[in-house]
Amino acid sequence: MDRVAASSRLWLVVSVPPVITALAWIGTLALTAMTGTHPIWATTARNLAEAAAFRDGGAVVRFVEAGQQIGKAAEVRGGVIRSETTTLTPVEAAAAARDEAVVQLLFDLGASPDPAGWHRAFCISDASRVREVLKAHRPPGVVEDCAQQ
Amino acid sequence: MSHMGPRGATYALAALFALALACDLLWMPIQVSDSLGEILEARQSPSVATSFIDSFGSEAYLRPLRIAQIKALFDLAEGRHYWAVYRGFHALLIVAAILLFTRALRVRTAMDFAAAAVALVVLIGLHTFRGTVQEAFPINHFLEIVVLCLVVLNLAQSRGGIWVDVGAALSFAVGALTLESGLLVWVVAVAAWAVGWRGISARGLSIMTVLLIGYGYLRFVHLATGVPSLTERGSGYLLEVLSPDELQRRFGSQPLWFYAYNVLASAGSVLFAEPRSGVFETVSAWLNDRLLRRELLLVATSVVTTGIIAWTAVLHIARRQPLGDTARFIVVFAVVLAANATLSFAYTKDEIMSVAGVFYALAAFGAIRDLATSTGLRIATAAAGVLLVGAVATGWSVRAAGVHYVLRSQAIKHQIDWVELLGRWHRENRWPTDAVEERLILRLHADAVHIKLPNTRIGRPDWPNRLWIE
Repeated sequence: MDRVAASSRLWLVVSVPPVITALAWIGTLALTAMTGTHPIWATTARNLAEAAAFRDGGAVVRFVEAGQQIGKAAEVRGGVIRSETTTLTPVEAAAAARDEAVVQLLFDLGASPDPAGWHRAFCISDASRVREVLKAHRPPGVVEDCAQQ
Repeated sequence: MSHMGPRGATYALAALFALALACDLLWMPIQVSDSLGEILEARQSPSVATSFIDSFGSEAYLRPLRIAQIKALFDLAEGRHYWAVYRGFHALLIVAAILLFTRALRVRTAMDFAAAAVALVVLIGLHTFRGTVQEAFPINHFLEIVVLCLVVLNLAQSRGGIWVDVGAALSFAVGALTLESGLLVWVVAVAAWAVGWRGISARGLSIMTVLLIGYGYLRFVHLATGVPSLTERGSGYLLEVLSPDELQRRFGSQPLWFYAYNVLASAGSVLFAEPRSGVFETVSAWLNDRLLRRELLLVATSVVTTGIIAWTAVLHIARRQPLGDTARFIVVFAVVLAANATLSFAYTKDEIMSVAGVFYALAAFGAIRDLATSTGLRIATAAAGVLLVGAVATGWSVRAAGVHYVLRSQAIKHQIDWVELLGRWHRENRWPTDAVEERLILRLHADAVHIKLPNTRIGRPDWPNRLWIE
């Protein structure tokens, strides 16, 4: 009888990982609901340029709807596209993140960089798809040669 | 656990998982691909009945209730609450699936609870389960079939009666007219009856069989709908995914070999986590020197769990024991696996095997419980068993936790699809000229874009991507 009871208690150990998983999962969701920040994916954009750099199209749309200027440069934290904090326009940030969809989204939302801004965005990214989108919105008179910087 | 008892503790654990999954599903926009088109068609249909009847003319498939359900939920949304209705329905289905699964285990003892806890993470962690949560078109019909199969299993385990038979027949009719996998509802009922779960009577089974014959007549004789051809869609084969043209070129003259591969691959996927959707992913990763822990985790946990199930089955056969619940779970799983794999003959996809995956978790429950209740074991032997199952439970728990990562990644992908949609449709001159349709799209777009989601696209931290397959 003692052997059976001991064995029974021993087997309850196998339920520990599933129980911890369920509690951690629910805990993660509850914590996110309470704080607004996910404990694992905690990096959220603080401005439109960061939203573009973080490839977060939803945040891009929300920032534009909230009235942020689509051509205005802003600080992008270090560690995502560059190791140090840098100041970029949203189009430059999306190009640096090599995300052609966000670059296109910004043009769809009304971005129209001046020749210098366009040239910086073109040269900041070596991704051919990003450059294709940029070429389709090239201001007149700008050359694509990045060696001229 | 001493206050609520093993059964209560199991339901509490199941409720935690169900709640977590439901929250993750609600925290997700409606998807665009394979979903927006269905919603726009539902808007154009004058009624649920019309949607149902009009679906009878489609080639290769007979799924009238699939379209009718989309229309019914569309009407329920009353022009405003699309996200709440479609995502809410998905969340309800997942809660129903987890609770019906838990009920079917019939937990009574502490050992049962331990085995049930492991079975729950096997259920959620199995890669075939992802197909029931990752996407919705805009309803996840694979999950519906899982729920219907579990309803029928629970009915089979009941004391029976006329309403049980009616419920079983209705479940089959709904399943069969929703997806081809719905035919598995009949397979579950027959297998359960054969192993001694006879809540569904011979009369009930007869009605279901008549409905099955009626389905066959309607599909293959009256409508001559046929079955999917080789060129229907691409499919995995050994180490690659073949396009429809490539499939035709390689197997056009001898499709039987390809069909046999699909059946075996589908069964192997549930038992060993390889191949997945027809492709030997782990072998491919190993050949290309990019084998990762995440691939090994899948194969190792599945192989050991299948080994425990097989060992239990062999012991039952060798000892010629009368059929208990454990043996019943294993036999029903084997039958469902064979039938589900056979239904996947035309092409293999993990989500098609989601029903077999659920019954795999039930078989795992029985096998682990048998191992735990083996009498006459020395403490050292029992401890070795606990260590083995504990290690497997840990592996399955990691796999189950990966579902949260998958759903978060999927949510932001759906949002990006919505964000891109407006500009793309304008550029491609696909933007609707109809004002009502335009309002509907803008409503769905606004619903999707205004959900604040954690950003998994940024690649920070990178350990989730190394641990879990997206």
